[in-house]
Amino acid sequence: MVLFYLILGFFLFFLQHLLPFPANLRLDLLTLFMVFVSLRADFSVAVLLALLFGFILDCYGLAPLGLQAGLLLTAVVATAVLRRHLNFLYILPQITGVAVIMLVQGLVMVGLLHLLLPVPIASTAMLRQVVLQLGVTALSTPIILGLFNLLEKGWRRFWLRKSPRTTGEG
Amino acid sequence: MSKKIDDVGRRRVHVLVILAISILLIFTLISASLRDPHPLKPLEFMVVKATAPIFNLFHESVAIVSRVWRGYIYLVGVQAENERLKMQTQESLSKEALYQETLLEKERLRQLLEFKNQAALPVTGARIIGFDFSIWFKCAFLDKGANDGIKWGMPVINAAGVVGRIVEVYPDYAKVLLLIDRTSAVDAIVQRNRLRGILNGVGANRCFLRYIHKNQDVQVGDVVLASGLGGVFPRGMVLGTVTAVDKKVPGLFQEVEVEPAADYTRLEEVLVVKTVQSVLSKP
Repeated sequence: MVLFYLILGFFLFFLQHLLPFPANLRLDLLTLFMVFVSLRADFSVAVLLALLFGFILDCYGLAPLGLQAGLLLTAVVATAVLRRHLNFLYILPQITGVAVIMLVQGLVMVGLLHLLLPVPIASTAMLRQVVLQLGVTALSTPIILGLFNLLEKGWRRFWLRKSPRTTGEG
Repeated sequence: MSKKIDDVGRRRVHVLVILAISILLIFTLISASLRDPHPLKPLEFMVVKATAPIFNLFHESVAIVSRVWRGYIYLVGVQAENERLKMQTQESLSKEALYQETLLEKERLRQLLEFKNQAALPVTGARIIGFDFSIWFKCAFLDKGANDGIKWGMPVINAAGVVGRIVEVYPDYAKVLLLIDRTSAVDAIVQRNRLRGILNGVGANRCFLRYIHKNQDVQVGDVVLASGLGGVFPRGMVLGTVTAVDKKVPGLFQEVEVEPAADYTRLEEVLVVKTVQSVLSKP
């Protein structure tokens, strides 16, 4: 399954970069991907993927290396904590959970940027964008997570059918 | 029972160790990348070199799909009007839609070329292949780099005006800090009355012209130009147009909102000015 997560992650990474940003509306696909991986895979796998994709994202951005990795790691840890209190199988907990995760990510980002950059980064316009992104991402969570689920099921079915039988023959 | 508790405890320690190592790694990365030049540059180069071609490929495929899609949308209207004709000429119409798209692209490039000749600046054309993932920063990725003569600090423009400046150069790619980024600041003048200020990005698709005293005259519709001071942007390049003026804000200065000349939502081809020398040299 790690291969599936890697392929899906890379696909989302490229897709995210190509999504235009009219009206400053952005869907944080990689955070949703990290939530999905945290719910489905082992904690160490989720952490490794968060570090890997975070590092690649940082190479393409203006932020210092490690910042996006920190945000994705926040998503992994927050999911691990929240899944004890919220059942991510249902729509409402999914939306609430992702909203909380993105809120925590926003706070971490503001805190780190405040420490690292000489320019104050959190303007009203910027915060409006963050809130919009949070809203759009949280509301689309059930659809996106459902889609990831379907893809994972398809992947499992495909590989189970393709894998050679090793026992029970002859 | 006690074995189960042991397992849970061991697992918890395992998780905590992974988490501690990850956090340590992240802080090491952050502190290393704050140095200039940072020691992880070669690794960053490698990642970009390995992933950027896929990026380019993705970009091209999306462009083709969007061209076909736009062509199809165009055809929907025709289909509603005349079903029979659409059936007969679908193939030729879709070709026409693609042709139209090529024509539009040619027109855009012609405008850029005309602008290039007018401006009489040594420039090189480049395509934007991606934008910054994070909404906290505004930067774009170009498909040209050091191998095409692009250097740190070079201004990036298009037919409408200034787009930004180069902040990172890779062998075949370059990173552009857009004018709308919060860390971007350009010395600017108002065309009508030569008032000087600093044009700052705000992170959203607009900028603010700062340090204009409240008793100075700035009006909505005024054009803001690059002053040429600092040597980064060519003097007289259009930066944007004033869209709002607020003198009621507290403090000495008025708040002047400027809409950038370049439309960042439709940015595709740009020009990199190659000779303008910045007084800010990269250490």
